[in-house]
Amino acid sequence: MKKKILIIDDEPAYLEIIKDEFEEADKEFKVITAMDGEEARKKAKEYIPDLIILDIILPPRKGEVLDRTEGMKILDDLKGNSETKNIKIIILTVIANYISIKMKAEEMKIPFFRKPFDTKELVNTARELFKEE
Amino acid sequence: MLNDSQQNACKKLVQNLGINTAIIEDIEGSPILLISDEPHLLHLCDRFFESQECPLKKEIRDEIREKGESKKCQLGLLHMGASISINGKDVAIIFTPAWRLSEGIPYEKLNERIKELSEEKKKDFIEKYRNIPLIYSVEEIKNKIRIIGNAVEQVIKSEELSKINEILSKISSERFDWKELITTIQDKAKEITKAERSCILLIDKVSGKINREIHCSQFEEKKKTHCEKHVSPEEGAIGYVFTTGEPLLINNTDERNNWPEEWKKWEFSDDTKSFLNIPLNQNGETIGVIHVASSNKNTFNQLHLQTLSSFAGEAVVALRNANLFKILSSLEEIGRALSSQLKLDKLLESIGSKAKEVLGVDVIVIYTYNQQTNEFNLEFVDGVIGEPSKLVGPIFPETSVKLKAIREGEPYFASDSEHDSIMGGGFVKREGIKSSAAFPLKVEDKIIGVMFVNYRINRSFSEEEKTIHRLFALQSAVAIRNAHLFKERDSQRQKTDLLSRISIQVQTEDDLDKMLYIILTAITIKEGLSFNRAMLFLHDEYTNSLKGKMAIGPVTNEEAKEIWKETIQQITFNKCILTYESTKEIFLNTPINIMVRRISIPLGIKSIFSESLSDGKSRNIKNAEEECADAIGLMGGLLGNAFAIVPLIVKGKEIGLIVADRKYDRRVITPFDLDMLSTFANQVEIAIEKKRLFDEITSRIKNLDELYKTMSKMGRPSSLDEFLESMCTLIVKTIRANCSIYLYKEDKLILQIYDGIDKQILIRKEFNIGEGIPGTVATQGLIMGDTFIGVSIKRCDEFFGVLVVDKPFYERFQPFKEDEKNFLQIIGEYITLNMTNFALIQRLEEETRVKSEILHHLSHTIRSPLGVLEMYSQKLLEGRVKKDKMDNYLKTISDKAKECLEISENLVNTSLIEGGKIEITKEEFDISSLINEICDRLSESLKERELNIEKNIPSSIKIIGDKIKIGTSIYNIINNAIKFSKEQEKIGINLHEDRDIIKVEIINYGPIISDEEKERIFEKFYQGKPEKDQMPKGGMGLGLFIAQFYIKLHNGRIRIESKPDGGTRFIIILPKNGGIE
Repeated sequence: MKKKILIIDDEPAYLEIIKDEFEEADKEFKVITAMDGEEARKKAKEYIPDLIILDIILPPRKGEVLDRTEGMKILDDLKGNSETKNIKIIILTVIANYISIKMKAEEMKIPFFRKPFDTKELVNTARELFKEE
Repeated sequence: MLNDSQQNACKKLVQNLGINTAIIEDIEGSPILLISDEPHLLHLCDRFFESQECPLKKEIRDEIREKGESKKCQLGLLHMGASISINGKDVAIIFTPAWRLSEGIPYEKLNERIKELSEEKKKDFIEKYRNIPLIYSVEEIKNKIRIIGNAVEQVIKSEELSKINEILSKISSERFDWKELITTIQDKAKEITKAERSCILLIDKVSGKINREIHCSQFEEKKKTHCEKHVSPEEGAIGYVFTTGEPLLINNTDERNNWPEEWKKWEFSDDTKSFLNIPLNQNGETIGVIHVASSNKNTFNQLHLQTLSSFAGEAVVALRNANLFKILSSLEEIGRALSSQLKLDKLLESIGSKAKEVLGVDVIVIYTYNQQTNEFNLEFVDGVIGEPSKLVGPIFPETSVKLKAIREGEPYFASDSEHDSIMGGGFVKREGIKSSAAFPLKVEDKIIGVMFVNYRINRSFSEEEKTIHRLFALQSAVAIRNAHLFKERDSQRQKTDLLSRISIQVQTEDDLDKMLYIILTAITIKEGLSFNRAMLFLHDEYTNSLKGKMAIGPVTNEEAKEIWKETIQQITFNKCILTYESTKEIFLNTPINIMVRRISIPLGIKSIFSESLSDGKSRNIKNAEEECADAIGLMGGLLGNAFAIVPLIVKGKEIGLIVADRKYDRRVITPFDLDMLSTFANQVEIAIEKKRLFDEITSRIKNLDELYKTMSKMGRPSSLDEFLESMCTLIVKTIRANCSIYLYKEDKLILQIYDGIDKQILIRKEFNIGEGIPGTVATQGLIMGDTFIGVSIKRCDEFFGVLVVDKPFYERFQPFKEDEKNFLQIIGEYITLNMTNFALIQRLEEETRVKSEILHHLSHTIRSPLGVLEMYSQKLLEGRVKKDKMDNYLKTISDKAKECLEISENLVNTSLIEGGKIEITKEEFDISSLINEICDRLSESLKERELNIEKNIPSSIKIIGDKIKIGTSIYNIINNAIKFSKEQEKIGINLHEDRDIIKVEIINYGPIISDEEKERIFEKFYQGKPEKDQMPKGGMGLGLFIAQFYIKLHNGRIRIESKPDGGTRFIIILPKNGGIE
């Protein structure tokens, strides 16, 4: 059974390198990418991936209140929806000392990576997650 | 006219009640009295009596007589008064209360008056007004006037009484000299008989002693001792005459051997050899003896005897007349003595002792008549007649025919055989009582009581004696009446005193229960109105019924006795107030309080109570079973058959009523009692009104307090709507009104929020400025209407909207109160303040948002390309990049490195600009080729985005300036255009030369730039918002900032034109000469 992985990041360069790493690591990984919140939500619902790699800092949607980052909102939306709440998640961030993100990730037991990171390690973490099933 | 003391009494009464101006006049308008302590009225007082003209206009006085009050103004005052009658004659009392009445007094007029006064008087006048203690209600003043009317009536009546005294003293002024009469009789007797000496011996009837003492009034001094030996009328030769009533002639005292045996014991002085004793007989009774004597034998003969006997007849008449006058004159003295005694108990005592002294009575009994109960009450007994305790109670029998006669006004004198029947009905025939008389005590044709006198001797009441008795009775009656009036006046003074003490209490006390307790106490205690019970009911608006609130008094006879005992222990008003706190619990749980609190009288059902409350009139129910049987049932059987009802009405609002009765002592409730009760009830009204005001103020303070608490708790309301809603709720909750807030949006006032008592109200949602109430409020700033209040929410030049508060539909007749108006103004200011804050906060929020966005973006933009570089190069170094991907990876590395360079370049430029370290090197260069160069540098980006470039650049246009900096500016603007263009769009670049200036136009067809954005677009770190389907912008928002800065260094500028069909044009305008001035 192929594992569907959705990567959400606004920087195409990151999307490319992560996508490559997963696809090169295992033929069983099917990688989908999204560059903004709207696309991400749509694809998450459409494909119901097994894993979402989520850049927590995404450009805000127009007219949104800026109380949380767009990535955080996506996270909450995913967890708040019965169809998507069980999807495994790995968080990416550039700002490592973003305390609220760190705390949230730890609280929810979500692994997180600070950019730049070792893509191999990301793949390993993903594999660990799949093993837990 | 009143005498000085009466005037003073009236003045005192008037002033005690706190009324400072009073005019009393008779019905014809002639002055009786004017009292005033108003400086501007004082001079009128003198004129009043000089001219016999009242200072008040006749029309006002007539109106007062007719209606009891006048609202016309004279001297800047309102006038009020009451009509009273004295001796059946109407006398008007007109009062001009010279202070603020609750219905208003034209102050301007007072002020005008003050201006006219001299400096000294002005000071005096102002001082007086400052000290006015109370604002009286009209009703209260009317009550006061009623009290004064009654009191003045009494004062004037006592004048009538003094007139009677005058008449009496006139009667007895024709004195008869008793001493002279006796001397004359003696001399005459001596002359007739040619005796050496003579004397008259009289029974002193007036001394009234059972031992008949011979009054040896005229014996010569040296014979007095001897005479005093013969004081008994039963003894000696004198005694013989007294006993027999026969004359006695003895011609030789030495010949006693020939005398009858009894005579032999008679003793005579040495110089009495012969004597003649003639009896003084009056109506068959011997009242005295004329005694003539000589030291010689055989001095007197039969002729002497006869002559002296007939002389004795004349002497008796003279003596009788003289005696009458003597008694009359002593009666006058008694009258004076009695009228000076104003204490009833003392007076009765002195009547008793005078009756013994002057009339010689043995037992005297006085009853007083109570007109209201139609009963005679035993008031006084003197003399031994049995156990006095057995005489207590009304024992005057209706059945006695003779007493009926007495009650009809005629005295009755009883002979020996029938006196017992006079005494009847409680009295039994007493040993030793031989004759009696009964007299009605009458003053001004009114029976005020009955006096009984009893003698142990048999007295045949002669006409003279009857007259004396009648006069004595009259004197007593007048004195008793006086004392009664005094007592009444005293108790009235006491009551008015008490009233003023209550009003002081009510003014200083804040505890409503205590105030009510004080007033109910005053109604029931002896020094007050001495009702047995007082009950207070308050109007409950929700159930429209009267609910029992508080009561004082007994509910059973046993309890009544207990209370009676307490009353004997002198429960005083002060004591009640002092012990209230400690006895409160006990008091509130007395049986009557528990019973009264259970009573609820529905007002929807017609009853004597609802009637009283709706017509505002007091009721004096004398026979409830006949007049209003349902009332007894409504009160749960608590009330007796007679009671008084006084409604409590404050400002036209029914607040409750007081019911008082005398169920236990059964004394009748008089109209005066009812008047006083109304006056006392007035204090309840004041107390309740005061309490209501106090509560209102307290709750206002609490509301304001809450407002501030809410404010500090809210800190920053999470939204404007929430804030306005909370304000609306607060207003509606606090003052029962409808509240609308309109906000100013696009030249219109739009209803933002509405809350109110009238839930379903239809109101317009939109107003133009100047239109309707909201529009008018907006133009005028503040409108304080009676039924609506509008406050403009405006600070400095910033207008936010209006707050309109109006009365609920069904309460429109009640205008806003002052404190409500104040409250709304405060709220209005508070809303304004907060609206300003909101605006500020919004701006601050925006700025904060922008700043944090910049920071966020900054770190993202710098770190992001570096992170990519790191990750891509790492993978390359690890040799894990597949061949077909190699070019891709290297391209990405190159792009990101360029991005990093661009960013660092911009950062360096910015820091130089910020540090003021920019240096310009100006030289002439070819701007045409510079633009072409820049286009070449950007060709890769253009290609990547599939953008066409349309250039219109004339060749070799020269300009003076810093080539690098102008180049950077143009590069940044073209780069910006590329970023904001959609793929496959075109970008236009035009170069114009126009006289001294060069124009570079860069056109893109990306999103329109709004006017607001045009201003901010050159700000440091400003980033245009990404549109849908657009590539992320990257960069730091420094390019345009730097571009503008550099162009300005050359005295140039950048203009932006942005139209939906014309695209967005950045026009760089540069002076050709490089900005050299």
